[in-house]
Amino acid sequence: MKKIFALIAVFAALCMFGGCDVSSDGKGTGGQQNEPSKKDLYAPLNEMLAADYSKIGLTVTDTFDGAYLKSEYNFLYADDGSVTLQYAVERFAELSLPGASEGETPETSSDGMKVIYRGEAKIEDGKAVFSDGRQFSLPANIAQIGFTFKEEYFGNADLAGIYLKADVTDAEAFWGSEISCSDMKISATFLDFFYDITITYTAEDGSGVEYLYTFTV
Amino acid sequence: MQRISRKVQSLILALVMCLGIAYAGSVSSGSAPADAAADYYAPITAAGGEELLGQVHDLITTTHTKYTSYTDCKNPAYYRRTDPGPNGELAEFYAQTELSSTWKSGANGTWNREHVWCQSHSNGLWGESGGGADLLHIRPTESRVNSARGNNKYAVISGSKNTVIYRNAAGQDMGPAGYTGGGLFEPLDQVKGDVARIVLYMYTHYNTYSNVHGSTNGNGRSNYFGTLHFTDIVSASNEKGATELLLDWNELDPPDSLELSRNEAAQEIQGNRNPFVDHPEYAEAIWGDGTTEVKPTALTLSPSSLELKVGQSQSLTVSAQPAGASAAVTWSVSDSSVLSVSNGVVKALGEGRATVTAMSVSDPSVKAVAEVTVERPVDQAKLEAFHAAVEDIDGEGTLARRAASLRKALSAYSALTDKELPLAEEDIGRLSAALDDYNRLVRAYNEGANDACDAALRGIGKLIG
Repeated sequence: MKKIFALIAVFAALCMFGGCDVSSDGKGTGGQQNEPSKKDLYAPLNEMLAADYSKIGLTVTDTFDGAYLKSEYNFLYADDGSVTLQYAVERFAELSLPGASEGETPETSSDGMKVIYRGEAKIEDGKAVFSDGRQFSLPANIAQIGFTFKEEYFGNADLAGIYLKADVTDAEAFWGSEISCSDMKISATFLDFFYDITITYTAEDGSGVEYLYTFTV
Repeated sequence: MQRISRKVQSLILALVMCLGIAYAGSVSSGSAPADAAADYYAPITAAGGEELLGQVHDLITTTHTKYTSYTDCKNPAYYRRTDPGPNGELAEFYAQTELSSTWKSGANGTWNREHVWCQSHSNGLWGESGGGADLLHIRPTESRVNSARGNNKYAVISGSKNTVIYRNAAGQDMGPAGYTGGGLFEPLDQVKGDVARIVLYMYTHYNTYSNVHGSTNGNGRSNYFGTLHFTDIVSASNEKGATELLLDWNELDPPDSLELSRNEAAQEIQGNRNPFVDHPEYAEAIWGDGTTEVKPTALTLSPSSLELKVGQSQSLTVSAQPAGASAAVTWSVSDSSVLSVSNGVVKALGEGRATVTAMSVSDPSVKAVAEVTVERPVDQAKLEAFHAAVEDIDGEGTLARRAASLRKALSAYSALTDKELPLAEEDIGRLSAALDDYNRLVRAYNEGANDACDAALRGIGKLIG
């Protein structure tokens, strides 16, 4: 349950930056359940995904035209069951003639090319409530989307007891929802729980994307 | 009736005498200072020339009833009256700043007795008596300033010159006190008139009456009087040149309140006054063109208003009314960041409005003012820099290079003012178009980043279990 609320907050944060498309619904095509297989070496990975973690971190690095944007999210689970999302998201800054822009000047990077949005959100009454008081309602299809590990989704896979490296040959199936990409690769480290999952791909617009998920029990 | 003892009688007599002296003193000094000065010059009837010189000599020597001693010239009580400075101390003569009135026999930072007309240049006429102890002559100077001046003649130093600095007993810099160079001494501008009027007084007083067309040497001893020349104390090739320098200084630096109060104190102590302080026009009348200077009642500046561009200069012409009145003026400006003025030539330094004031040397209350408006011209260099930056905008390189070129153009744009902006419209349009293209690209990249984050979070949607 903690994780539902955390995900709500993340979607709400995305929508602040003008592009979050929550209508791209998760179809759960990866299946809610792993079908038992004689050689289902990937079943433990799906079980690990379902474990309780005290902290989940996510860093999204998007590389465009020699420049990159970094978006960081941290989900923190307190003993009282409350969830706090801390985020710091970079976007490229638009340029304008002096005096043309109005309002407060946001935080910028040292080279002035990026603006940085920081904040926190807590879940209250089924909504993500941000530090400036803005609220966002939870989307409906959260539970149906997400990774599913299956042998047939991967190529050139190297699965050992503590790591996985593979090409993701069926990205949409693995992702559980639509995703426009090519040349997706995955590497993960784990033991009884995931330590980290790194996913890279080339987006439809040609930009390079890297996801780094970190897990803390 | 009981007889009064001799001792008592003596006491009573002494008391009566003291009261009588005090009473006489109060009666004799009953007139107000201004009235006393006016009454003092009642015997002067000549308009100028030798006759005026003789009358002035006779006046200041016959009224010089008490010849002070050299010891009197180190009396702080006298000099706090003849040379009053700040905080009840003295005014250092050449620096005209505060000088301690405590006499310490000329120790560094304390005062010495300055012979404005050096003893060594008086043809042996005075040392420490007569003219060498006259309160209208001997001035308090700091001992090192006194030494620096030495027995150098007065002059305007044309070559290199060293600034004499007055330092007090604590070694603090109290300001400049004149200049030395080439064996000469040049007072500060604000002291030149003081020096000139003392020299004129000494010449007029201590020349024997026959030298200055007088009829008597007054109450002085004959040994106090002799033959003096201006060239004895002023560096010049001849007497005419020395006289002209003194007349210039007399005009450049009119009498101030310090000199006027000195005259009052001197008259109270020794009986006479320096006539060239009360009537500086006497100097020109005696040694100038022979007529008393006509003081102006009004001044006019032409033009009375003007408009200049930064860097331009223009001369102002001053005329005085009535006809024949002196048009000698000093110049000043109301805002030195907008204008400067020298000898009537106005130079525009910065954008704005300011005034130029011409103040009569003869009568500082008579002034004329010109209004000046300064405009700043178009800064062609800034326009060209902006144009070059717009030309250099990178519309096809990496995002970082595009951004850097646009920032350079924006920086050049920010330097433009309302003078240049109307002339840069075409380049401003090009810059705006380039900014629009850049921002469209940025928005597309940001949308891509949003999509990537959205997908990343959908990837862990199943973590709900």
